[in-house]
Amino acid sequence: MKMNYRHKILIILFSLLGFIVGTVLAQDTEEAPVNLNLKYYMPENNIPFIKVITNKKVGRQFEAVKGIAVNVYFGEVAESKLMGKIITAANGEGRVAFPSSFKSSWDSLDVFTIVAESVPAAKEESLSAEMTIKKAILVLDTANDDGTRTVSAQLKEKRGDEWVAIPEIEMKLKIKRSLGNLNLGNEEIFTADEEGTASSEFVKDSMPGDEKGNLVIMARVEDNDDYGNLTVEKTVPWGKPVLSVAHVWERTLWSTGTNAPLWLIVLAFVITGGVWGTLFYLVRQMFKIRKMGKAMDAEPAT
Amino acid sequence: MEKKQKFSPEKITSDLLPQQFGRRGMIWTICLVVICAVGLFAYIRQLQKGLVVTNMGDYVSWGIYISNFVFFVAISLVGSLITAIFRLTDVHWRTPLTRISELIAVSAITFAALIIIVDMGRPERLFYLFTHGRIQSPIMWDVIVITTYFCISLFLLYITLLPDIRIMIDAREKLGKRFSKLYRWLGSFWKGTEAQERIRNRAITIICIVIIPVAFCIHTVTSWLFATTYRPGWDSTNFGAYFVSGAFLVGAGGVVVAMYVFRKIYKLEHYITERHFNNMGKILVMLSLLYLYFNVNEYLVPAFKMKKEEHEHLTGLFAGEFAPMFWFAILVGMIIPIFIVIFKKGRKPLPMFVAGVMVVVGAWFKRYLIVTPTMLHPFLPKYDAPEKYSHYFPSWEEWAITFGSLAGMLLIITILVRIFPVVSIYKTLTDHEDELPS
Amino acid sequence: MNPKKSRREFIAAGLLTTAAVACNKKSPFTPEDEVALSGEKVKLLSVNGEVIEVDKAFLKPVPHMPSVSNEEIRQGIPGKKFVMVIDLARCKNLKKCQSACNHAHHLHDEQNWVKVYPMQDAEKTAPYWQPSICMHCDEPPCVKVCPVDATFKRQDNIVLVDSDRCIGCRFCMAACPYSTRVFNWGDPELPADIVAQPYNAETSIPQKKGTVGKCDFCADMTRMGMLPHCVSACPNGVFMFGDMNEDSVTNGAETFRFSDLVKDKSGYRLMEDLGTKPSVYYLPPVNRNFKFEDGLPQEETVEKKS
Repeated sequence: MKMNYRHKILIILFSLLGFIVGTVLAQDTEEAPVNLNLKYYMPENNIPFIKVITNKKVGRQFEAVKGIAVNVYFGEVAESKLMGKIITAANGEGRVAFPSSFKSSWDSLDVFTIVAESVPAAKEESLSAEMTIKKAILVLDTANDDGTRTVSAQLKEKRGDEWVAIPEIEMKLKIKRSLGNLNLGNEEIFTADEEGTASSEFVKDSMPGDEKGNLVIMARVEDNDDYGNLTVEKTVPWGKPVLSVAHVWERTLWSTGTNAPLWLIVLAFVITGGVWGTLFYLVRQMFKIRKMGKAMDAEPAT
Repeated sequence: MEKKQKFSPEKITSDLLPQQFGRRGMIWTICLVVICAVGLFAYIRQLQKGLVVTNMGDYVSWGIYISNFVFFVAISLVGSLITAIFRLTDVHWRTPLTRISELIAVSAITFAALIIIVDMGRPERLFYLFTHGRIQSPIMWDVIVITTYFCISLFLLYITLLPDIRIMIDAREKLGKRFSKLYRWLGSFWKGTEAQERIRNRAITIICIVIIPVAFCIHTVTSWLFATTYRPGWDSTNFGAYFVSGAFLVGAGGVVVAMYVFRKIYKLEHYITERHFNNMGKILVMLSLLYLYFNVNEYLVPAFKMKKEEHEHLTGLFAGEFAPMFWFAILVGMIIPIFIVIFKKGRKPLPMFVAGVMVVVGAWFKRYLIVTPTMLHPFLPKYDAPEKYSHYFPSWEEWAITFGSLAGMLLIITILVRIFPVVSIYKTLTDHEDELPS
Repeated sequence: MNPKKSRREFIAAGLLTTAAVACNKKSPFTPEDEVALSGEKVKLLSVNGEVIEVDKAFLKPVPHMPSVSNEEIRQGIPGKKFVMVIDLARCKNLKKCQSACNHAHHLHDEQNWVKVYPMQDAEKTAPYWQPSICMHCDEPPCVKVCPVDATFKRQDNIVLVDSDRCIGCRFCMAACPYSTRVFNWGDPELPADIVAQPYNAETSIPQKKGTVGKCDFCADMTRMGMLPHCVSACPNGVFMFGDMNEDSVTNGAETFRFSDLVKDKSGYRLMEDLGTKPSVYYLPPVNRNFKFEDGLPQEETVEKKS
């Protein structure tokens, strides 16, 4: 009985070990599958484009996968509906816009579907992705009433010939900055009211703008399931003028050698010049002695 | 004062003319050459592999090379002390010491320049100092001032040698042909006429005046390499004076050692007399006390305040990792020599020699203590860096190069002494004439 | 919001405004001029169905930046004053910053341009984690002492190292009070393709034997309008990077007005008394997101160093 009991434990232990080793090995060998994603971008209510993203999960993060060939179709997979072929770049992204040849079908649709399919290499399976987007524009408006500056934005969906403001849309109202955009109000996200308007007071006084004090403010809808990503900008004179003056390289101790402080250069030249001048004078004196000696050699000894 | 013996000029000349190496001389020279060769081998390894062969790290980024450099710069100051200061203050007994101190100065400053190149990560870019130099950098000042001092020292050595070269040319039968071409190339034009003598004397006076500020500069600027940083132990307004006083001390110590050695080897008892040791002893005591004074300033004042950054550094010196070396350097480098030399009996040649060696050895370790402990105590913790970077003990390559450079300095002195008289013959002769009753 | 993406949209928008639509909306902060145009045109549809001709560069996912000369690199980007804010209340010693930095600059294990120090200001005060990088001082002591202009201060606040110039004297390492500089004692052991690249002071690649290296504020990334690697790698948003002339800093997820942030949270700089005027600000470790102990490496007691 006792032996048996021990056996049982051993068996359990071994099988556990085997399981652990197996899973670990499996994790090691099994490559995470590549994901193909589509995103729709609509900057400035102008030329929309589709971003194709290929990545895979490494640990807890997604890592870009480059060099995947993807065909992007308008509506359905068909030769005639091919919008473009891309190969994802180093950041795992590629872009496709709507070529002018699709004008008639583009004009007729308020809602459209994009299908993407990867061009598989020998052993691989083809990846595919699809998204449906409602055509929309983002409208940004500003008002300045007795010093109270407000910014409002509406997302307008295309319904036939009309653009209709949509309520309850979440959007961001920002001041454009080069590395990350700054909230222009006190909130991060604004939700459009029943009329479809999201608005905020502009509270960032004297933000540095351009030379005339112009700031670029923007409204953004981000990763909306129906509308994708929309951005619109507007320039407003609400900033603090920042004159762009050419940088002056001052003469300091931490400047380049050519911009050394004048006092230092003068001092260095005076001192080294003084010492080396003396030294050269003495060398000349030596030559004088030498000349005297040589002259004596030339004379016949008496 | 001992009785002054009078010799004939012929005897003085033959006593002081350079002599061929004896067997001991040959062994000594070969030993030096071997040590230099090992150092050179280590440096070739360093050139191939980079400074990785050293045990320096991102904390102790300056190690034994820099402390050795400071030592060389310090000892080279002696040329200006003995020759220039003694000449300008009209110290008559200086005659047998000037040549020795000039030789030490020239050889030490040569190796100071070489060792700083050894410390460079990219020695092949040395010329950038001239093509892209930045006058704001204390390194640039050091480059300028060391080059200047080297040239002045060489010039001083040469100009004081001129009459001796004439004497050696005249004594070519005695000296053999070996260096006669060199002598003639160097000084055949020297006839010793009154006009020549006048120009030479004036030139020596001028150069003696010029060399003093330049000598002060080399060591002050070297101290500024440290004092212009924020680091504890270096961030001191006292540093220039502290370094210069230490340099005079080690220089005087070096001269005492050399005096003793040359006196023994070349049997110069009649020229380098006990009087000279006695006088140098007094100077040594004075310089030791002066350096001690600056040391008290340098350590007591920050220790009284014990700022956070200084605390670790100072306790490390007084009672920590570096305490044995620190107290060795203070006791052996200053206090014991003072106690030896302060007594009249201590100013005899042998105890003076012992004191001189102590001063020089103590001074070398003192330079090490100035550089390394400070580098081990940065402002931010030593963290996120390899463990080996938080300690420092030089690698064999560093030791080999250091000893190689020290041997190289001695080798230059040895070779120069083989070629030129170690005591100025001409000056001894003229001193002798002056002393004869007219 | 991923700052890299948003940036590319700016560029796209910029291209549209400059190349296609004659609309003067050019923002002073969109360096569209830097993006090289391909010269080829494509006809694309607008949302309204108009046919618009734009430059092909519009469809490039990675904008092609024209290469910059060493002279331009030494000048820096005009009009910028880069600044960083490090929020000590958020740091958990994850060291993602460090690994991202080492990876991006091909540093070997013995070198860290980003260090995360365990700090304790006084015996009774709480320990905290302090990420440290090059402070990019306004009056940099390292630049003061460089004998050959190998390290230099640019007009956009960045202090860089030219490894093709550095003579390896290591004076800068002695002069820097922030222990930020590291030295390539041996061969940096880089892959052959990286060694073959010409040295670029903005990427600090490739590191070279016998020369000094340090944090470069990822000057190449900032030139492209992207955030430094340590900033985007930090999952806790400890690092905030921005332009003082725009008065804003961002960690990628959040953007703050720089002047408000350092005022509201009592920002400070390291060793202000030395007069180096760093470009890196710290926010004190108050109301912390993590306990200090959370950041301790497992089974390792931290040496508390003051």
